[in-house]
Amino acid sequence: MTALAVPAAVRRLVMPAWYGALVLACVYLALIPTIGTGYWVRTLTFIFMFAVLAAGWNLIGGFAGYAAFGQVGWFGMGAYSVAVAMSKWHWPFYPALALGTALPAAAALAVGLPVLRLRGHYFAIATLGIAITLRELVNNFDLTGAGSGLSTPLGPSFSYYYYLMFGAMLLAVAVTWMLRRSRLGYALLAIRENESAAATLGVNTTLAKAAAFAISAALAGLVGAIYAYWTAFIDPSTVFDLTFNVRMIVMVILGGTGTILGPVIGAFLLEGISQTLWSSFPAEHLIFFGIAVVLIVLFVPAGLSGLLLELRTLSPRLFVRNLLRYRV
Amino acid sequence: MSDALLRLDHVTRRFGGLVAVNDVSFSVDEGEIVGLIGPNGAGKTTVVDLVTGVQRPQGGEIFLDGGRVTALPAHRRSRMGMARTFQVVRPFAHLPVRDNVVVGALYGHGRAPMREARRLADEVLEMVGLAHRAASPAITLTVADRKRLELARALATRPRLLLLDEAMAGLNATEVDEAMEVIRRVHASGVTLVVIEHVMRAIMGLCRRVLVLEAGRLIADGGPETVARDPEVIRAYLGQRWAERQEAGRD
Amino acid sequence: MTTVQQIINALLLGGLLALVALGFSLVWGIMNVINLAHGTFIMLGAYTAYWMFSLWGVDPFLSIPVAMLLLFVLGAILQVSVINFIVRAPVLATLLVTFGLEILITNIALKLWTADVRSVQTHYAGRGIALGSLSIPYNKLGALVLALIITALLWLFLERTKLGRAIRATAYDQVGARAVGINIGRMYALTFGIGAALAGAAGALISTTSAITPMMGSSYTIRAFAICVLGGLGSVTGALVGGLLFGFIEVFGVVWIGPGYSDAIVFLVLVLVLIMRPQGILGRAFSAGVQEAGGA
Repeated sequence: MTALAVPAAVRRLVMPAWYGALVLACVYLALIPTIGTGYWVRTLTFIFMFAVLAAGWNLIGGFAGYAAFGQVGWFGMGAYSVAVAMSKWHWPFYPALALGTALPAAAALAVGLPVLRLRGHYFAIATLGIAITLRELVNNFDLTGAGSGLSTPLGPSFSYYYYLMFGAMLLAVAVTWMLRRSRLGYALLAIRENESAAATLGVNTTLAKAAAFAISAALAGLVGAIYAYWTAFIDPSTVFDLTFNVRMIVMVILGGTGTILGPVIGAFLLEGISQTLWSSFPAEHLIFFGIAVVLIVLFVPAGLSGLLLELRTLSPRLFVRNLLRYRV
Repeated sequence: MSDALLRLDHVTRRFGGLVAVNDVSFSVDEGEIVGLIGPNGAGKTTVVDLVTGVQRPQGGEIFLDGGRVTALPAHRRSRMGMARTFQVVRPFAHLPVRDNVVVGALYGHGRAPMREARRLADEVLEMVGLAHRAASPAITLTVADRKRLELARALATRPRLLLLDEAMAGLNATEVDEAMEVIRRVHASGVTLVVIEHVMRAIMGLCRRVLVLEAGRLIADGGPETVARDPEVIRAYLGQRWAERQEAGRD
Repeated sequence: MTTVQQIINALLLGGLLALVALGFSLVWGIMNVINLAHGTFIMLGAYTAYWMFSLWGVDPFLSIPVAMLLLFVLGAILQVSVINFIVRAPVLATLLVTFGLEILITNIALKLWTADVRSVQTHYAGRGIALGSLSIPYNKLGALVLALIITALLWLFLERTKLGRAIRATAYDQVGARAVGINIGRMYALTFGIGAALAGAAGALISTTSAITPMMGSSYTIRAFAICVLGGLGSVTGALVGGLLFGFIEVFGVVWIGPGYSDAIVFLVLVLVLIMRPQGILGRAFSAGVQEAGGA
């Protein structure tokens, strides 16, 4: 499930090269707006956005093991916070961005305390319900422009948003990395593995889950907020797009659930493919996406990090074994 | 009057029509090792669940150090110094053994800072004889090692009161001896212990005082030799077969 | 509108919603699978009725058997080719796969039939029985009656036939069911097929009362879930009780809180019920064993 079981000798050998590659990749990505085309700037901005959403889901779904299915609600809340603050109250962007991050976190904390008592299907559907409810509220309030959407003031260049999203992605990775090493991180992993045992060891499980839920909501809200400023116009159906929920989860699964970089790698793969398909088959790309979701869950349920662990035995048979694991 | 470390006052727990723990009262003083024995289904694990907050009683009160803890959640009781092992082990299966123990050290009664928690975890693993498996995921451990891990995790919380729910079940004779040695050392370090065990050799060797539960009721409380001679205890353990033999004799 | 009229509307809606939830409840109860594609089966049933009406003039009530048959076949195929592989997987896997199917089916429908809102205009649409100031539209009454008939038939099938008992046996005790020679995979295919067929029937009935689009499905999936939680999982009576309760909540929620909030009301009620009774109002019916085995 996690990459923890990689032998120490392998780690010592591979790690320096791996870190070097990561630094190079970051430098390269930082240069894209000056050397790349507009298409790549746009595509990568989307990829960064989904990487943050996936990293946020990973905290509650991958670390704590709670299958949140409504993260797009926090994304939409962040987007609408910025749109309302900038267009109705004429706030500058950065205070609006702070609002768009803090409000979803606070809401997730408030909603999370009761909802995180539910488990399995019940938790998943309740969180989906939160997203749908938020969309409906936005659809009905005049402040949020009801169903017709809101415009935000035109901002600086596209590379500005590129760097904002890039920074958000680096932040999300840093948060995950720090969390994995923190007291709270240990509590979340313990909760995922056995909640009652965690409680008898002194973990306040309710508080730990709510904290993880709030942090994941803050990350989703953050990129929602940037997204609203970037696109200059939002409406309920785009920022509360329920397929986002599935997208971010499949990215995490693809990259490796409960790992630090897995969500980012998954986002690059899935959103990269998705954007390519979108540009060549604008009408049909969601059909391919639906098929991809089914195939990934059936054939690579442990993601790329899972494949990495079974590198020695990697063969087509592994995929068949994955497929048949849960067959009735 | 100085308060007992743990006191149960007329504690009752029902499951539907079944009374698992029926009006049980006893207390455990600081520094004791108390054995808790009884036939299968007598309610021993339920008593541990009630004491540690995994379940709540329908009647009665539970006190730790004179303070009422009856309604407190499990994690609060852990912070106050209670720890337990589970009869059916509950390891954090996909985490390394060491991380399993680190969780206990970070939280629990000790609430050690991160570096200290890692050091404590290694120390405890050494003590229970699991140091060589520290990096393996808990799911790869043998049954005996999983029992050791339960104990290590509980010890890492730095408890004042430790309840061991059949921590030796499934161990062979040598392993039981080792476990008894570990428990003696834990006790010597100042931890008060309640030991549930079917391995009578361990109970007799460790405990100066034994409580006997039968069908949810406390039927005896005293030194191990006294309790072993108690007619009610003998009936509880031998009763059913004895009664059956009586029944058969009549046919 | 008078309160009596509201009660009539709630009953008419509730009966139909019971049928919406019935197949979902069956699949959840027997296999412990939350089928997020359930709503798309309803959508496909509605389009079956729509096309049969607009191409050949077939009355939507008469196209119910056709919709049921088509969806039974689709459901059984999906079960054998996809769902059977993840029935016992963790919760997340079943949610993702069924949502993947929902995206797939919805977008194929969008491609085939565009996002246009369509409706079936029968000659009796808009007409009904008038009792003083009260009115009962023919189409809604017909939908209610047929929904109740189909619900009753499913109950008879599950309780009184050997096949129905075999299906229920797989939910109680998989090992035992296999031991007496029941082919679990085939039973699941049958169950999922029946679940889809019931959704198809619900869709055909919905086409007589409401407008249809390829995206109509998800809101019915959510309602089905809420109804199962309200009424109790995996039993025919649970779906019926939950559906009727739900009809009242929706109709009176709109009256008291306002139109446009129906999904929010659904969820508020759902979350409140879940928090107070995490296993639903009537508790878990016959899925207890499956839930233990299927826990993540």
